[in-house]
Amino acid sequence: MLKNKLIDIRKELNEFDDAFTRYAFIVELSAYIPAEIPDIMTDEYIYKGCQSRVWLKLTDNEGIFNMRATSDTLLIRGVLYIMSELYNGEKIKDIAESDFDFLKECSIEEHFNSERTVGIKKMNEEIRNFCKSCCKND
Amino acid sequence: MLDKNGIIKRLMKANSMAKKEIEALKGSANAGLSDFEFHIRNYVIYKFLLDDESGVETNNLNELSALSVEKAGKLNHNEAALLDISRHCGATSSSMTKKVLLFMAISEDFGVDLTKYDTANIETTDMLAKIIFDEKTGIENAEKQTD
Repeated sequence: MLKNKLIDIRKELNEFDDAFTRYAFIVELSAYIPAEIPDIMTDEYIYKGCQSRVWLKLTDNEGIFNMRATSDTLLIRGVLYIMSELYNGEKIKDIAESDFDFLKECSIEEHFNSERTVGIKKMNEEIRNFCKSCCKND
Repeated sequence: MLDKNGIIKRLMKANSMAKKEIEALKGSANAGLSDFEFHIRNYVIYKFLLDDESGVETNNLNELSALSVEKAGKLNHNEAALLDISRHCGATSSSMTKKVLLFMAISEDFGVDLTKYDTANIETTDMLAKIIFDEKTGIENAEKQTD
């Protein structure tokens, strides 16, 4: 369940009582998103709207969402890891109907400057819009 | 394979070790500048998760922060220079952000205000220790005068 996953992620991030350690945790997670994923690092999947370069491949697997993503920036790969963990395997319909603020809900908004915040919010919107369009096509 | 619980435990342990360095200073009424230099370097090393790295001799905060990012991202030095930050934007690198957040953490842990200092000019753990030592000494002297 998307809601339960969100609660788990927030709980994990809130285990750390200071911004430094939460930030260090996100940077640690970045190691688990490969910096090079050649088959998605093409113009087709480049995501425009972020300070960094991000490649996003979103797929609808019979109603189940899957994303593969990477970025040329370490910290953003950490964020992409959290997004993948949250959304992958979830029902497209549930993501389309969701309306939470990803950064706020995960308690990581304070770690990013305003431009990055906007970029990450847009990325989350991109995922939601993709899911909405999948629902319309059904 | 991601061992997230392992990462969380590692970060918690490092935090607890860093706190012990602060307690060692707070618990010693006669701590001098050299004690501050020693414990604050240890504090930084724990916070940057570099305590299990051999051969880390530098006191330079930028270098220590960069090393911590290299280690976290499992990058070698050349990769880190390329992959910490996008070449397509002017955003702050993770290592610079980590340094700033470290100052925030140390301010909170020691109860000192570092915002009046130009943190970009605090280059080494010894410089940081000197500032905290002076701040603590100043606070204690002020408290003695009030008594």
